[in-house]
Amino acid sequence: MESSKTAVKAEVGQGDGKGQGVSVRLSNVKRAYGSVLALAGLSLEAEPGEFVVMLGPSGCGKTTALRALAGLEPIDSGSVYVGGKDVTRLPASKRSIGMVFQSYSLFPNMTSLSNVEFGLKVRGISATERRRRAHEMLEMVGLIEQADRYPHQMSGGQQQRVALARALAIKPEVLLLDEPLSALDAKVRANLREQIKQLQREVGITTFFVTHDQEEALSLADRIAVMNNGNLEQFGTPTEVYSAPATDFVASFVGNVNVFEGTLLDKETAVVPGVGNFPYRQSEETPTPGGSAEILVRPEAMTIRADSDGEYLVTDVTFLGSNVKIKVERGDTSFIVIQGSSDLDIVSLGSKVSLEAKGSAILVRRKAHL
Amino acid sequence: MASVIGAPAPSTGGGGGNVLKVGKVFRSVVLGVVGLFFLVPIVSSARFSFTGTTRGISFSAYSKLLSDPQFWSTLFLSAKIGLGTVLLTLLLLIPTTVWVHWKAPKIRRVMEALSLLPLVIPSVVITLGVITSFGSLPNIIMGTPVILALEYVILALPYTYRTLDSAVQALDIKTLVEAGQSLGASLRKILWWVLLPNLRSGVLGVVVLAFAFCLGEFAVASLLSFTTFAVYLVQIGQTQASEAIAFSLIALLFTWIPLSVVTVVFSRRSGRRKKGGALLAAAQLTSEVVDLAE
Amino acid sequence: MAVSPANKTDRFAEGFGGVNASEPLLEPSKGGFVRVLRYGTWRRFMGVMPFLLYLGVFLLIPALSVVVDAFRADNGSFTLSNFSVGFSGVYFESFKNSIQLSFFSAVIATVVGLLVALAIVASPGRTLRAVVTAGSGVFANTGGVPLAFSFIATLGNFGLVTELMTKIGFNPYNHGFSLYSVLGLTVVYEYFLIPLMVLIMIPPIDALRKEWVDAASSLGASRVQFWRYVGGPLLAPPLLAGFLVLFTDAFAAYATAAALTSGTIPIVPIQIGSLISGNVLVGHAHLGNALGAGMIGVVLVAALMYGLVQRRASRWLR
Repeated sequence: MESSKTAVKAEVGQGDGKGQGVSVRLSNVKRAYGSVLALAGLSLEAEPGEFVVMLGPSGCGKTTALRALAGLEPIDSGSVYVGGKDVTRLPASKRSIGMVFQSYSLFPNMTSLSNVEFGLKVRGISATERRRRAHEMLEMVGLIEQADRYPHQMSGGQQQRVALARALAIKPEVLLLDEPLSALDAKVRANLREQIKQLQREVGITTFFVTHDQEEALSLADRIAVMNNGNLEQFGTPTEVYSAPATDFVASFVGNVNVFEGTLLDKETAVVPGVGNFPYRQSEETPTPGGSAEILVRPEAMTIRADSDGEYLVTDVTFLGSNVKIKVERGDTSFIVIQGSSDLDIVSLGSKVSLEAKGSAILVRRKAHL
Repeated sequence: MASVIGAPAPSTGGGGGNVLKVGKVFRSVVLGVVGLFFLVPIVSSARFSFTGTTRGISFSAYSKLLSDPQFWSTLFLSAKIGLGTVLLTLLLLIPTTVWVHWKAPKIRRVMEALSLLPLVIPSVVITLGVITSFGSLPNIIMGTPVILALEYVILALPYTYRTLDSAVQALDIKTLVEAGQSLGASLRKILWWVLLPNLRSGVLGVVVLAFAFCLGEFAVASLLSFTTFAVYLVQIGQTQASEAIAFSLIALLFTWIPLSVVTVVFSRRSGRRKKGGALLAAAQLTSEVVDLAE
Repeated sequence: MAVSPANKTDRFAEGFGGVNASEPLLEPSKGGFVRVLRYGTWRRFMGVMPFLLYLGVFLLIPALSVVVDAFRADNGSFTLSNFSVGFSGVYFESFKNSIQLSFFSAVIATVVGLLVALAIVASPGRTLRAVVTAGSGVFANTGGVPLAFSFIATLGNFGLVTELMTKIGFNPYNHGFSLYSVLGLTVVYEYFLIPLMVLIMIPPIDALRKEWVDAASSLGASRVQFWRYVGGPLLAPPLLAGFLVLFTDAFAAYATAAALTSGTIPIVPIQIGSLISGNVLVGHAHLGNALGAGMIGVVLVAALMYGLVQRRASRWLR
């Protein structure tokens, strides 16, 4: 405990903010609220300087995991390592971790400057030094002009930027962000998202970012940890998570997905009648070839063709800029196809079309029992 | 097929409860000791009223009081004053609050602040002022309890105004009036058939609060030399302590029960900011009062 | 509203085009109301006129008449002599006693009320909280005669607690305590002051956010540091404002003291009371009004401080 305390001070004392990245490891962390298992033995390791996004529906345990990492939430068993040190028994105030909360976390009785200075003040850093550092941080987030404002005088986006500056001012080893954008409106959100990403690259700090927004996760993360019911469903790069989901849950939680009924030709090819062949990867959900199966296909993995004998009826067309999202129906099942805008004239509402395989299936699973 | 699950962000659980980490022992000791301080006088009064200073239980204090004609006459007087106060209050406040919400919502806070003014001026001083400024008025006002009712309307205002104001706010007056008018009803009919029935609980709150206030008010009544119920209690208290205590106890219970009912009903209704409802609202001297006083 | 004569009309037109609640309603100007309160505005105030009139006649006129009369000699001329009598001798003592009584009973109630509010907010159960809140609402409005008598039954010469304490060999009356003294009144006043403080403090304590504690500790602050830099500064204004409310409440209280001491205890409201009811007022009307004006003065000072506290807090409120 002693040693880590001095370590924190040493960190703060250092001048340059580069290369602070340390590895972070959660090992078999369990946490239950009564009979509800919030974390069912979570293990996760982040590389130094990595941007990890924890993604999942509310109640999946992602926030609990983050708070356990910060030391704000007691854990029942398991260990937390930061930079190779076991910090499991350290209280939050002794861990070198900066945290940004969902909203309203700025101290309302302090100006932005005092808020940013706070962490340095409680560490006993001299007034001139902490003022210099706080100015530097506010400059970094582009809010130097708001230094003397109180939180209630600033917009939600500005408040979150101050909170970010405050968290980074103590030069933490790890940065944690708990849905920091969820209370902001769309435009500010996209803006701040870019800013966070850029800042993280510059500072090089190992970062954990919790969100339930898959788009946010895909655009920010080096690696995404998809969580559900206190379990880690998949931990991989955005590309892996999107195009090769490890589980059924990941496939349906991240991105749009079409579910076709079809058969497995062999261990590599799945056939959807009337659409064509999709290459697929084996997974634990895959049934043995020969039988019927459900084949999960992304909207981009198909093309659409005007066809007066087609089995699919166009029910909705949404223009997305460079792409068009087309909703088609067969019987009472609907499917989504995304096409380049140049093909817009092929389809019109109410026309008959047929679909054609273009890419791979992301997952093949046994038919759902009815 | 699931795309984005627009799940609401998990609540991080606000409220001071998690913030404080106040030990259970500390809590129990504080609440226990303070609770005792509030219970002991009630228990003592009960015991005293049954036994006086002698041994053995008797109801003589109660029976003696009930057979005292002055007990009934002063109670009757206080009830009459209470009735007058209630009627005057309703007559004054229903049109006012309805008007404010309907036609002039911008002055709502000013009106609220004005209604709290009587909390700032001590009732003894108001009495002084009544004597000084109305002393020369004809006897029909100054010489009769009418003046009490007139002043009680003022003194009870912090309680009554807020109660009615929050009741009126719960209604969407503007929409109700417009709906009524579009159906061809006259304003009077709207007030009578639509607004008043919907204000029932607010009106009831005002009745209870104003009436309880009138039964208990001592300062103004005694200083203007009217023997109301409270004044009578003090008079017999000089000589017959156990009787006075017996009836203080009853008086307390009789105020507490309706007050609790009003508190519970209104705190449930008025929700977020006005925790504790009408009574708390009255208790809280808001900043506007001071802005006015400044 | 400071208006330079040059652009007066314009400013008025702007200011009163829609009713601006924060502006004085009746600006005393040479332009007169008719121009100031234009037709629409005028109509808007019409509905509350009866209320304002009533308040003016039965509250403001009496209050003002006390103040004005306090500066009058018997022959109607302006004088300060009423105050020189009102603030000397027994009356000076009364003001001292009153202020002492209100100050100390408010201090005690502030501390105890804060502790109770902390305990309530920290308690997990909703029921306990509901009961205490409702109870406080009721007790805060319990004053006057019944309260005085129930304390006579408790701490009077023959009260239950007095009796019990005598049995264990500590008769409080032999140790300088009397219910019928300023000290006794202090105890009795707690009965309505503590609940008032509980009601005042629960909302601000409730408003302390978990995020602030979490943020503070993740920034390396200890609990003590959290309370020193964040929690304390946030609770201080409502605590101080609450104290001033309690002070005012205790300062104005009359009935409890009158019933308890048969009007003999030297505090200002009682002195005014005996000047009125002893028919002494006939000769000393101006003296009584001087005392009343003094009370208004003390309350105004408290109100002014309350305003300052609120203003300071308002920098970070909302």
